Amino acid sequence: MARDRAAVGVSSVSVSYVGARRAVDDVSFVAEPGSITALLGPSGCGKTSLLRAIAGLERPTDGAITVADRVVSGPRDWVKPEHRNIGMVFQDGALFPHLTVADNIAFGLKAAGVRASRSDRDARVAELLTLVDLVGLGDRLPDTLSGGQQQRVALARSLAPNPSVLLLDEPFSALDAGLRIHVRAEVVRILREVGVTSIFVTHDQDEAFVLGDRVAVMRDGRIEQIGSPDELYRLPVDRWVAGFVGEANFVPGTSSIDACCAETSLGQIPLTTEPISSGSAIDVLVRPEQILMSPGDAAEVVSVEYYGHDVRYELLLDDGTRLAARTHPDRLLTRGDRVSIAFDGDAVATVFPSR
Amino acid sequence: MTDLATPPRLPTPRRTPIASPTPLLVVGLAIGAVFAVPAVYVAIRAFDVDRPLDDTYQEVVGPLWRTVQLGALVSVSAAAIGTLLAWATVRTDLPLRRFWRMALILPLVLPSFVGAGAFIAGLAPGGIIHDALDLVGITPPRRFRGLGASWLVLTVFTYPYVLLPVSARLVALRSNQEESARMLGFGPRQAFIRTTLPAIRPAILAGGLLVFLYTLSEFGAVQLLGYDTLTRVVFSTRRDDPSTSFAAAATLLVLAVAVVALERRLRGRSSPDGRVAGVAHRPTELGWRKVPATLTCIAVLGLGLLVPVLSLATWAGRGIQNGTVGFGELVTPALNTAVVAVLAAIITVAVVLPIAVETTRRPRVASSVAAGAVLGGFAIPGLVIALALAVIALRVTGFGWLYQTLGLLVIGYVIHFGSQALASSEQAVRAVPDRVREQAQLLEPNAWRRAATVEFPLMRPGLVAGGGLVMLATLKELPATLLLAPPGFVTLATEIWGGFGEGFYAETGAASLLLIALSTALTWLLVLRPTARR
Amino acid sequence: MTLGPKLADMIKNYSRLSTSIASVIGLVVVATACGGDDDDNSITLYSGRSDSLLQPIIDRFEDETGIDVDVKYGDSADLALLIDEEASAGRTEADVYLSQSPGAMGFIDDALAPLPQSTLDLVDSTTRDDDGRWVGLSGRQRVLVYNTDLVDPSELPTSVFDLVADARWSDQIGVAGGNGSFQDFVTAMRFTEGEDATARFLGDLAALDPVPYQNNSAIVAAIGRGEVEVGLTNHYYNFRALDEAPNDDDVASANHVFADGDPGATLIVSAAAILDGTDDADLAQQFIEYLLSNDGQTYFAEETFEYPLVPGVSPAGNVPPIEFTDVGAIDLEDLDGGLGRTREMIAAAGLES
Repeated sequence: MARDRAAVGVSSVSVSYVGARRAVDDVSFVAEPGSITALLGPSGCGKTSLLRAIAGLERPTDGAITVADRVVSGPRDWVKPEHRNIGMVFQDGALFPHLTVADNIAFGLKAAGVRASRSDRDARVAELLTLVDLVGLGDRLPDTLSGGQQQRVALARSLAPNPSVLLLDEPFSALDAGLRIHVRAEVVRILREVGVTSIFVTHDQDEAFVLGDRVAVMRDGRIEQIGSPDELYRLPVDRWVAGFVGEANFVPGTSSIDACCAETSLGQIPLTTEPISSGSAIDVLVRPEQILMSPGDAAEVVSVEYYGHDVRYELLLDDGTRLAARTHPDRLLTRGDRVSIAFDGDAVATVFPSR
Repeated sequence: MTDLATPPRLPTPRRTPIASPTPLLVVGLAIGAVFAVPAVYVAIRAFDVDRPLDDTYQEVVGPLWRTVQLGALVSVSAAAIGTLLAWATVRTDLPLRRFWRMALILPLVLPSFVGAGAFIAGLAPGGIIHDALDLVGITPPRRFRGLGASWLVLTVFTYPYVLLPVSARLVALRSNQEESARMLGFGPRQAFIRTTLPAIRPAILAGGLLVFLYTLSEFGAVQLLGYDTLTRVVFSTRRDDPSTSFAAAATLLVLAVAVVALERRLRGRSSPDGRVAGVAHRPTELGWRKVPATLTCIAVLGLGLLVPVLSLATWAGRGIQNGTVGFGELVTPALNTAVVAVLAAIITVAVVLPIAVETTRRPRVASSVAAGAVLGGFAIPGLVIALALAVIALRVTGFGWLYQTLGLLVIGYVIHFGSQALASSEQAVRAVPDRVREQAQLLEPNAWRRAATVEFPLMRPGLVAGGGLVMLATLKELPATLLLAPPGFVTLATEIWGGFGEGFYAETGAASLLLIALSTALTWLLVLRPTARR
Repeated sequence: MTLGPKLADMIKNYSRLSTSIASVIGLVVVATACGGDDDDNSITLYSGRSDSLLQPIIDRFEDETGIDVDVKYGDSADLALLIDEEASAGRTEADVYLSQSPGAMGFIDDALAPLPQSTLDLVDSTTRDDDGRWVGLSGRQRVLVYNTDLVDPSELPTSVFDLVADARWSDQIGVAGGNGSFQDFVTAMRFTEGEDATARFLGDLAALDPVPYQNNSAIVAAIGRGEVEVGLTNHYYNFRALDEAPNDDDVASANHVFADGDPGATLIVSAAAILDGTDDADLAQQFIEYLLSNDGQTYFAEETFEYPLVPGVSPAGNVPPIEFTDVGAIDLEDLDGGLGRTREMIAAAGLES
């Protein structure tokens, strides 16, 4: 289907509420046309406020927002939400309970400025029902549908008027855990098929990584880091981001003479980041799956958590350091076992100055 | 014969079959049957004609048309005002809107016949409306009677029945649906009309239904204002022309049922009242419209509360000054009113409880039927219930001992106001979660002791609330009291009614103020305080 | 505290809770049983005369004799029908029946007990029942009350028939069709002028769109407000209004008496009777005799501005003198029994209130 793939540009945007500190503090980023961007962060970090500012439901106190090179929000400009051609899917779907599925989907096609005949609308509704795989449910009322089905109707409804951008506010948090994964996959399939520029908000790191082409991690109103999931995971910009996107071990060590490696209790670890002064005390970011264990005497297994697809161990080193390690359940260790540990040689690690 | 090869199996736990009725259900059904008695009796008597049908028709048709007319007009105007005020006090930036939300409910404290009398007294020479209009140079209207007057008076005292549910619903509705509509291309006003309005429609309809039923039931105000409705026919023909009286009563019944069915139908396909997620709506800005909006609130509250109360107060004050009014005369009626209200409250809550228990814990058709009978008691005008009870007590063998006793009056109240206690009682029952009951079962095998020491304390708040609502309704009731009160038993309501009928504004003013004070105290406890907490 | 101990505590409070429940139930039973007059020293009165007119003298009776009087107020005819209904169900609820006038007595002749001769002899033979079933208490005259600001006395006709023939009074006549005195006025007209003339009168009255009211007081109050310009009622209401107002000028209504002998100036009496089947006949007699005593009759004369019927008591100073014992033109006996037909005629004309 024809679509103007639009980029979304957010430039130094701040949003604050009456009497409160800034909910969004000088945020800038660009979402490329056709991409899926995730805004990830703990509750209260401002991700929803930022999303609502892009939608036009909140008014920023500073900064500018552009959609497809058109300024929709700025010091001198303001375009009302209904005129921005932006679609939005809310947390609970927010379907109109008094309308059928088909009427819900067609809702946006009746707005002022949309010239569509009755048959055009019907055709579009049919097209969307096929897209979201709900053919035949057009005459049902929303309260007769399951949670996942309702969310798909909400998606179809917001896509019906061919928006240039689609915003999703924690779209899966109202669903049961098991359902969530399935619906998530469906939604991402639909978004890719349609190709609309999407920005969605979530507090679930799995979700952000699986769905987002790029993820922006937010904290206290600011973007801590924005990048691909891999970048965030392997090259987090600070400890907090490192800890937020996954479990992190900070192994104390010293940088080597030529600053290419670090000497740690795991042995020598090659480093990735810019040259640091040699001989300085540093903490190396080691992910649990990067720790290799073998029978030995360097650490004791303190706890064992069996997940089926892997096992997580907590290890207590003789010098008191605690490390988390994850391995394949091939050789199951038990509490009290002593192991020696090593860094998985194929990987390289990031460092931070020692605290 | 056991097969030694197969391992032993645990016996499957036996599930209690849902079909067997519990003693409580039987009691509940019996109670429901009692609630249905007046309606059934009226229906039976209505078919027992000893006058030519045409004569009865002639007597009834005029009042019927007038009743329907008034009911429709008042429902529409009350719904319009109630909804508009709900929107203004919840969704806009009207100044002092929290105050208005509470204050605009207050006209509920005035029984409509007291309000009507207050208006008449105010327009009489010496009354404040009369004097105020004189001051401004407008000739006060000579006559405050008929359809227009009744419409005004009833609207201004019944709009809170719509205001309450609609504002509650508006408060509960969060932003997601309206914002969805905005994102789909609709401006703020269109978004409101297309999403929020359908969501509050059930609340408007429910409130409108209440108002219509209230108008059907109305007796005192329309009598004072000289508007001839079906209740007048029931009342004035009940002795010398019982068949017409019962025909009119049956007509009222049919009207009530018809309107309830109509409301159900209109509510039909609407959504259940679920919460809509999102943030609170940002207040719609009124700008210059704040002024007319505030003036409207002042006008509505003025007509609904301030003017009537002031009117009564000035007359009462004058009477106290002249020495013609003594509060000592009010002691007996006040005591009587209090006693019968408390009695009615206690008995109603007790009677309705078995049904509440059954409908909450073991919902099934039978318990819904019993609950329906209770709810029906509210739809039937109080006058009709009282008529049926009075005639049954006099004529039906075995019930003679109830005739002209306080007990019969209380029974009338219980049947008419049972529904007020039912909803609260159901909530009270839900306040005792299953696991608490089961725990109690393990600790105390005796069911009565269990009920007394565990279940009742937990249910008490809900039961007390229900009882309070019954008390409030009883305070304000007139026609049933007129019909069923034993000789010499005067309540504040009947005292006031007699006084207005004779034009004695001073004495009636004092009694009215006392009644309003009691009513206000109860309303504050039961309606305003819970609303403010939300 | 976990659930178990908490519940155990609650169960220990059992005895306190059960006593309070028992006492509530006790209160309920006691209060429900109340309602009839089981007391030794009380009577039940059905009164067709209103609370405001009668309650003061009833209170005085209660104070002086210690006998409780439970009153049911209502329309005279309404209450007569009630007595009839109760009698046919085999019950006697009331001990004394007080009516606005004798008209309703005929309905319930069988239900009334003959009064002791000593009671009957207190009044003149023209103001009591020949069969001794009721006795007159006070005399009243039918008048036309009018609003002094809106109506010039010269406009007022001398005959009630002229009133209904004049379109000037359209929509301006206050009438209480259900009221005993109005009904007796119509019955009197039937006897003096005949059925046809009465039917015509009622028809003409109805054609003028009279404004209906519940009772006489309401008519006079309405006239005072200017709601209607004239009204058919009894003479004493206006005197009471004058008495209650601080200044006579505040009262905008006045009495107009139709010509002597005109049905519009009918003289009637309020009547009392004892019901057959009452257990308290002597208390009932005591009550009626109290109303006919000096105290009672002075009350009717000076506080309700009616005409006393017991010789020796004079009417209030400002009330025009009429000799009730001279009333001969209409035998009050004839009013007796005419009520049913009268009510039918009133209803047929559409004047029922």
